[in-house]
Amino acid sequence: MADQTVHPSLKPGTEDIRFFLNDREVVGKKGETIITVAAREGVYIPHYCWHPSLSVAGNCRLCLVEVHLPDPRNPDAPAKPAPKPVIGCQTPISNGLRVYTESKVAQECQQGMMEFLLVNHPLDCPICDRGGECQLQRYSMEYGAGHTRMADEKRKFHKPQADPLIDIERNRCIMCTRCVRFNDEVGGEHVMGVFDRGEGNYIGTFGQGPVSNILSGNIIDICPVGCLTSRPFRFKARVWELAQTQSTSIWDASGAKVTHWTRNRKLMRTTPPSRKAHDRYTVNEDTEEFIDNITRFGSDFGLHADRWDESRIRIGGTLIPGAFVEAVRQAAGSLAKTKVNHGADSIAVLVSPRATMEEGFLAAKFARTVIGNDNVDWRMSFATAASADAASLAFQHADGDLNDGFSAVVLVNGDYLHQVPTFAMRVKEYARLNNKPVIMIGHHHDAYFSKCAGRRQYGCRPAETSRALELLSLAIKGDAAGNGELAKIFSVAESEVASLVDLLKGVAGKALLIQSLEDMNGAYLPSEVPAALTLKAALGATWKYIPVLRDRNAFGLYAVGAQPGRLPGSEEAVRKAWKINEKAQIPTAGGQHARDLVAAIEEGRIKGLLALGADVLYSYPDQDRLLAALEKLETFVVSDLFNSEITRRATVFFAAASNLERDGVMADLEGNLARLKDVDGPTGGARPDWETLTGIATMMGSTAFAYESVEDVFNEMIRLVAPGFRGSFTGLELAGPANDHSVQDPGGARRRTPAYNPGDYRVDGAHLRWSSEPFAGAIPAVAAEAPAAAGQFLLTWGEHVQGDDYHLNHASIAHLLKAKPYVEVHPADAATLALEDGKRAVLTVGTESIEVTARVRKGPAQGTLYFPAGLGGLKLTGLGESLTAGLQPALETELASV
Amino acid sequence: MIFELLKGLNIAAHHMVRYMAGPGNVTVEYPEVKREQPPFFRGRHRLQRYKDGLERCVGCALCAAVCPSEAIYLEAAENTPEHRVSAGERYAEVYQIHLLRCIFCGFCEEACPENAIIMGPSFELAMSKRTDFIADKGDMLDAPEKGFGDYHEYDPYISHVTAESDKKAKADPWDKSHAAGH
Repeated sequence: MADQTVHPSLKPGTEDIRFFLNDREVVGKKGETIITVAAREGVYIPHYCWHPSLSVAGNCRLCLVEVHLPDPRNPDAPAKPAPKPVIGCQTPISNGLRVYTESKVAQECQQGMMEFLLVNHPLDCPICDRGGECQLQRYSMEYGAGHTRMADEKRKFHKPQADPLIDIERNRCIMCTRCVRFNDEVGGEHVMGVFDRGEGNYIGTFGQGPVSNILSGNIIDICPVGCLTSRPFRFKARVWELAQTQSTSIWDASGAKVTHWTRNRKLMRTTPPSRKAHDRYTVNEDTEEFIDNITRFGSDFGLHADRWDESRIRIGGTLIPGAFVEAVRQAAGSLAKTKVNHGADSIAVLVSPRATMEEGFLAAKFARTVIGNDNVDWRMSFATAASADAASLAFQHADGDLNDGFSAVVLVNGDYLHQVPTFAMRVKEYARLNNKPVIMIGHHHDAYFSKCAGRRQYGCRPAETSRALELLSLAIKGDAAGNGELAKIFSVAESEVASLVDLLKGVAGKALLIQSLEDMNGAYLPSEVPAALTLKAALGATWKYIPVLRDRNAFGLYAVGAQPGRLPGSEEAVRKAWKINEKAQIPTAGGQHARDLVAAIEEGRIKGLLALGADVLYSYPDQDRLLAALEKLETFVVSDLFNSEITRRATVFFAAASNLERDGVMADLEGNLARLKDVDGPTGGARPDWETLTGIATMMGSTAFAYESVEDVFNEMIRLVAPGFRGSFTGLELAGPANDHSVQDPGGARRRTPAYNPGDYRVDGAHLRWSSEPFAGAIPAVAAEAPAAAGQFLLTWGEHVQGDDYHLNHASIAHLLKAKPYVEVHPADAATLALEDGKRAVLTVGTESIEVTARVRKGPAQGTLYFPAGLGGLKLTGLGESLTAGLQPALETELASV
Repeated sequence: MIFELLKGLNIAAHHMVRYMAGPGNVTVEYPEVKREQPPFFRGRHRLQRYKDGLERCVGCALCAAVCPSEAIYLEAAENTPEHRVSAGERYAEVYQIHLLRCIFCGFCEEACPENAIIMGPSFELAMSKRTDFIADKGDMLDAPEKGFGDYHEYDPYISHVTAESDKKAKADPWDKSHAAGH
């Protein structure tokens, strides 16, 4: 296989190369290949196996071009035709080279290759789901001969049932190996391969197993033929029947952009953005904007049978469906009554971390102006109120953007691939392809980055992470006194610490410090975040900081002030925008933290609750305690999609609009805005949350909620949150085919736009940024860790996007999307336990125990285990205190029962 | 005067007798007698089967794609070993043609890669309810008792018009004797 470190589009040299493309002089950089320069210059060379994100394989031979080489001894002589045509994807450009992509030789090659690739192709296009967006069909029309000379029987393979999500039809395969390379390089899992030789050559998975990584669905899109097709989308519709909506993922805080494909307003499939100039109605098989499987296959939860699409009011103990207006009147009445009876501070507002910025903004405004308190929050899943505040401190100092690239990256803790999948992918791909150092510090290292050659791992116990970061920042400042302690924390030689310090000091240009806020529900954040910010300040101004939280719109909700102690803008601006007179106080202190809400309800301090989305309540670790507390509320107004344990306890239920039915803006963890676009209006009696809140506020006597559309809310919000924003609400909508089938670009495959450019999504002034001041606060000390009993391991954990999730539980194929429980074990611990990678083991936490797969890797530090919370139904109700766990290899008898 | 009247009646009677009994009549006693249609006649749609009873239609939806009046609605599903409907992996679970929208252009049978849909000889399309005009699979699919024998090969490239018949047709547009099937 080709050189893995050369990425055609990302790693050009600096030296200019002048050559001729179809007799036109063009300039490229040294090291670039013919196909990349041609794509940039608007000359389309047909290809199957070449993909801008993957290494060069050179096995489809469709990009054969005619080249004429200059005579090095006699530069003035005309270039001589090369003895054979060369492949455009692997041939580097050189000075004076003459490339002909549409000459007679090139056309003959293309035609011959098409005939060759079609020799064994079954031509079952009518029953193939790829029909209509297939590159084999396209190229047959564009470059093929139009007839076949194949008279013999075609080769046939049996069909494997390897993966529940991906259908493998080997007869259609043209052996481009894109899927193999994708799983190896991007997916991070060597799971597919080419088997057998010659005519018996076929594609498959090792041991007929599934392609289980979270990015596996992308091989469906990048397969140029119908070999890999989507099982959930199987035979649901033909691609030309589908309308498209350009939107964004509600699962992935990386802000992945998606296209929802609908027929008759029903969601059929979700793919990466289909932004192709040459063909508006097909998925982009050259996409570089990969999405995770949850976004791809789970976005249809709004169609679940448990969906309540009517407002409901509690009358005599049961929730009776009622008109929206009636529910608004009821909700406004009971909130006003609670406010009068128990005071303004007895009401709290909760916002789902998947709410749009507009919804969060209105919730913040509602609490501050209509209720008159600071009790608005979204941070329910944190271990303590202090860790929630630490996360906010991290957001305050967030200033990094991955699109700018980096010359080094420091990752503090985190299971990035399973929390922010496409963000992890972008970090890893950039580091891997550009050979940038990846320095992992903390109690958990994501094994996904093991493909990066410049990887360095420094593991430590969870309680020691902040101390390690602090000592590291001191060392960088020149105080080497702590190096000995640091070496002890990391269990490495002192010289290695010195080399790490030298490496960090020597980083030139932009660099990134990325910190996960997820681990152990943020139990150690109060000291880890200040420590990381101190490290960033010590490293210098070229280092940027990105805090990583799994919650999709966490950054946006922080921005709009949907949390205690924060307003969406300066107090004057807010006062002006919200029409609050100068004498009145805007409540910004003493707010109720969502984390302590349950305790406050139990103590009777909170009597009324307005929740936008029940998922925020579902993220509370101790559900039984939460449900008991909800019973005690006098007023519980909830706006949600489903009939669930939580919503059944409501006094007023509002049917909310699902991810496909609402419109708004979300911010990803880099602070870039993306538009969540509705496919169609809400179903039945459902209403988007901005309408519900506007209704309740107006009914409660406020005049400041006179919005006619979500765009009005956006305009008011963005002026406060990002005064420098120079775009518009509609301008944030992603470029792509609109929801109409009327315009068709009469298929010019040669007029294709060049590859993905991250800058396409940037809107001037749309980056949410606040503080550029270096952090100078103190780092609180961490309580010493209690020693674990013999045979016990300290359990570290983090949420997993494929785990227990309110929305994911309602997806139509949720059972296929959930990850199987596993536990990561350090190799040294695995050796003492006699555990091997992939073997079954029993994990015991407290009194509960479940069977898990052991993954032996240098993820957790020695003596600790890493368990992705929410997998396998094991609830980790411990709120931040250190948990210990036992791990035993599963017995043979137990194995038999699996 | 009476003579002229009788003369006129005689002509009428002559024609009446001639067309009632003679070979050159142009009308038939519909509905008792139904005229046989030429093979290229585009009447009501039929969905054909293979001899073993499997449906020819694989639900590819090319007919729906090509239909200029968007009269065809189709939902496909996957065959399973227990429930096999068509010969391929895919079959049409829902297949509807809105006969009021249909303009009987015949593009669907032309587009069909499996010769599954053909436009049959049936021209009786009057119904009393609007909903009856949505023909589904039950209305169009060949019934098993028909034996699946009369498979109709649609070939748009076979021409029934020869140079001679063309010349004759142009000379006397009312003469139908040159038309195929007569």
